[in-house]
Amino acid sequence: MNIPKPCWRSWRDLTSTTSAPGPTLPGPFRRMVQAPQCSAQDDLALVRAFLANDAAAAEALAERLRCVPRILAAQNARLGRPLAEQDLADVVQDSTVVLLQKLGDYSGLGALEGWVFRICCFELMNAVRQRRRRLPLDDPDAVRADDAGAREWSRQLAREALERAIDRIGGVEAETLRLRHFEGLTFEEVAAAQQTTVPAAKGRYYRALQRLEEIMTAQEQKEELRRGPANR
Amino acid sequence: MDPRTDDDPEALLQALLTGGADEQSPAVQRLFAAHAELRERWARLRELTRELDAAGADARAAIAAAAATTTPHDDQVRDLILRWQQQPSRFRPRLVIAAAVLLAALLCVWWLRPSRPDRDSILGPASGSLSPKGEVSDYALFQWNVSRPPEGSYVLRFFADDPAGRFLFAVTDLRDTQWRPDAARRSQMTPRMAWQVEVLDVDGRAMGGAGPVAVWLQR
Repeated sequence: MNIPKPCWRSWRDLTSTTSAPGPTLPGPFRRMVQAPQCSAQDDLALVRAFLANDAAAAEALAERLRCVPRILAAQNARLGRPLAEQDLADVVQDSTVVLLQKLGDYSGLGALEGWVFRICCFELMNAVRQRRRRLPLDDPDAVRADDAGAREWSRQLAREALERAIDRIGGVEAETLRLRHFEGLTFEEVAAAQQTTVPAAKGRYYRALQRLEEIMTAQEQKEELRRGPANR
Repeated sequence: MDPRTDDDPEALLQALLTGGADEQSPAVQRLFAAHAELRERWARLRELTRELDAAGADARAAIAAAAATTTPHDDQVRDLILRWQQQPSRFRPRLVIAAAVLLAALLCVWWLRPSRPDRDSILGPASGSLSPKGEVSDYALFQWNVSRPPEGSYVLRFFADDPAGRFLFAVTDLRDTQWRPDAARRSQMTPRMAWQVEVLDVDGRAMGGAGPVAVWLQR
């Protein structure tokens, strides 16, 4: 599957034909919304400026985080729309609050949207789980997801397990994996982002993969034990 | 293939996973044939990289697709962010935790501080000042700031302030912290003298005291 890297910073350009333009942004933040070539370090600068109560940064960040409802709506659609519009609005609100609370954790090693995407997926999956627990089994809404939605749910569960395993690795090794596979960077680009040498980046990547393999294997064994011998 | 990978399976796996070696090369195939375990590890790690690639591509595609759409909730996020920043005081869990830890540390320091013994435990129940001392116009009133046990008493002793330090008289069984001499006692006093207070317990044992201090009449 060869999908080009998206143009992370071009939200305004992409949405200018479909939604009302936002306010004119003063200062350097205009570049952070509009310029596709700006780096994750610019994203970090934007986040830090926002956390320092910079009003212009808030405008710029608001533009950038327009991706939140769109990501959630798209993922909800892929899952066969288990959440109705009103529930989705609640998840948008909750996800945005979580993002704002966690903004200080954003390291600036990857694009802001990639970080946002992970949190949005996590919040959406949790919301769907909560909704399933609330609904009685004979509620037609409980089984509204079609086969494609069920397949996507399984895929998202696997992806979630992978993300959790990467989180468990933590540190610079986890960042290396994310930069390589989720941001689609070459080892040269990973090394540049981490301000290290290419052999060092490759070494980190290899250690991270080994650790990930250990964690995933342990998870699978635990899952098999949980299912019991009858289901094997 | 890098010659270093010939005899180092870890180096070979790293090279295969990072593009430094080709799985199809005869040298790698020979190694795999000789080490089945190495081939299995390579297969597991390669499968994992494929899963990661698929997840990454999926995420990038989802973000790109999301960019091309709009939702009824687009402005909800913007309003929330602007309101968030306008909040006068935002709850900052890390700051609160840091403050709580600091407070706990200060409480521990206060709790574990070496207790300073009170003056009475060192000197007995005696502490404080005597009055009068130095030059006075009259020997009218003698006062002292010295504690005593509930059943204890004070003894005042007066001495002539001369090289011999001759004992003049003592006043015993005092409960108050002041004493006013009558005419008879005044007649026993010298123009320059020294006086002291001693504290006695209920059994008459000395527990400490204050003084002596010198006092003399104006000329």
